[in-house]
Amino acid sequence: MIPPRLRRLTAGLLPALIASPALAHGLAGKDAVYVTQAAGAHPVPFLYLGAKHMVTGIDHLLFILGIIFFLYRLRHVALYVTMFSIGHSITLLAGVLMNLKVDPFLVDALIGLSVAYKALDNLGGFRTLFGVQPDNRIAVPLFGLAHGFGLATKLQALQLSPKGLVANLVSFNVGVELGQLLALAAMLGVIVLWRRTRWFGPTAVLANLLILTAGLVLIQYQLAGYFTQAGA
Amino acid sequence: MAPEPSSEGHVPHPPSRRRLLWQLAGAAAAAAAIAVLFVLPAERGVDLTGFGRATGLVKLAAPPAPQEVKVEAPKTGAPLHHAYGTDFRTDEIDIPLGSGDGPNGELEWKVKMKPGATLVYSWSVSGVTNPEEFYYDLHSQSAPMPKVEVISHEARTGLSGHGALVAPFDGIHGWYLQNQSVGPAVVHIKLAGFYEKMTPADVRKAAEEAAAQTEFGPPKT
Repeated sequence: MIPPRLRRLTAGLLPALIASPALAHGLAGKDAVYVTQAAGAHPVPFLYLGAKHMVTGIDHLLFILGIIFFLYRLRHVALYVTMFSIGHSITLLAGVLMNLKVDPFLVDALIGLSVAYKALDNLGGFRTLFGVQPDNRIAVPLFGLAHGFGLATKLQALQLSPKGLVANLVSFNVGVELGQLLALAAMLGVIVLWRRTRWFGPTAVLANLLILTAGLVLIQYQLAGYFTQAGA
Repeated sequence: MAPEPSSEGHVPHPPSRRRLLWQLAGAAAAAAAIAVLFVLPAERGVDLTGFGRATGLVKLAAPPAPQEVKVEAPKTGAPLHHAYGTDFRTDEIDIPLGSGDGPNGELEWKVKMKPGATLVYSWSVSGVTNPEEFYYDLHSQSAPMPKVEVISHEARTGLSGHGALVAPFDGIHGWYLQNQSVGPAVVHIKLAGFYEKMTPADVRKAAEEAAAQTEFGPPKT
């Protein structure tokens, strides 16, 4: 049995995530000012910003939550999270360094789609509806590329100084991975306890439906941004 | 007893097709409602239903207050900002003039200024009612270099003048004032800026010095 305090904690997890103010977010406020003004290598601040971006980014967190929801072995968790990390590192570094221009709204809509995709996959939806099971060893790194472009567009939106750009970018990327590990550890801890409860089965369905809903909201939010921006 | 975890990567007992479709429809409806009613009005200013305006949510999407933007100064040919030492001064002077037919009906009133120095001025005449009967010439007169250059900024009749002057060169700058009315007049001048006052003797001396070698011309750039 799980102590009541932990139950409250697990029950509070999803609403807390969904209520996060950082609904597909960029770097803002004083962080953005800092990043714009920083010339030269500043590894620790950029490391911190990368970690902060990940820990406070509900779109990334929901996708990771979806990935690990039904991974029961630590080996599998490590494998999928590594694939996701490789995917988003490639596009984060390449996107900024090669100055690849992608529309931030469409990328963020794609990130929302990745959240919805993984939730539907967790519900067994692809097998139930279409009779096929997509291979997540391909889908996860592919969506990882989208998440990396999302990170890249946030940095590209600011005028980064070319001085120390590579060092700062790598620091930011390392920070993203550290933040991801932190979030991952917290989510894994809660989910492992959750799985041991009698009500995991039914609540897991509800939880993934909520993740799916959040993904759909993110898609609409970003597409609305794309169309209002294009009209402006 | 907790259910044995499945290793198939999805919920232990996947919902049936029929049930899943209902659940997906519910999720889609909830997502659409959240997005259309709340997120789009508040974040994007897109208010499809009027709910955003009715609840005030749409105000959250109002553009932020205008920010200061640095722009290049327009190319006017002259700098828009000058910085000087601390020799800022202000003066208020009353200059009496005799009647137009007498010997004291005209006067040169001037100050010394370095090139680029500025002053603002405001003057008016009392004792004269007809603007046609008071003539002035605001001009700059250079130190001999070797010739003396004179630039006339404004020469006309009138009872008042207000403006700013940037010294085109090192020299003396000010007014030739001429009362053409039948009675005496007083000119009230207010000055502020970066200049040195001159005594009437200084002005007379400068005028005499310049008399022989004055050259009228365009501003030296």
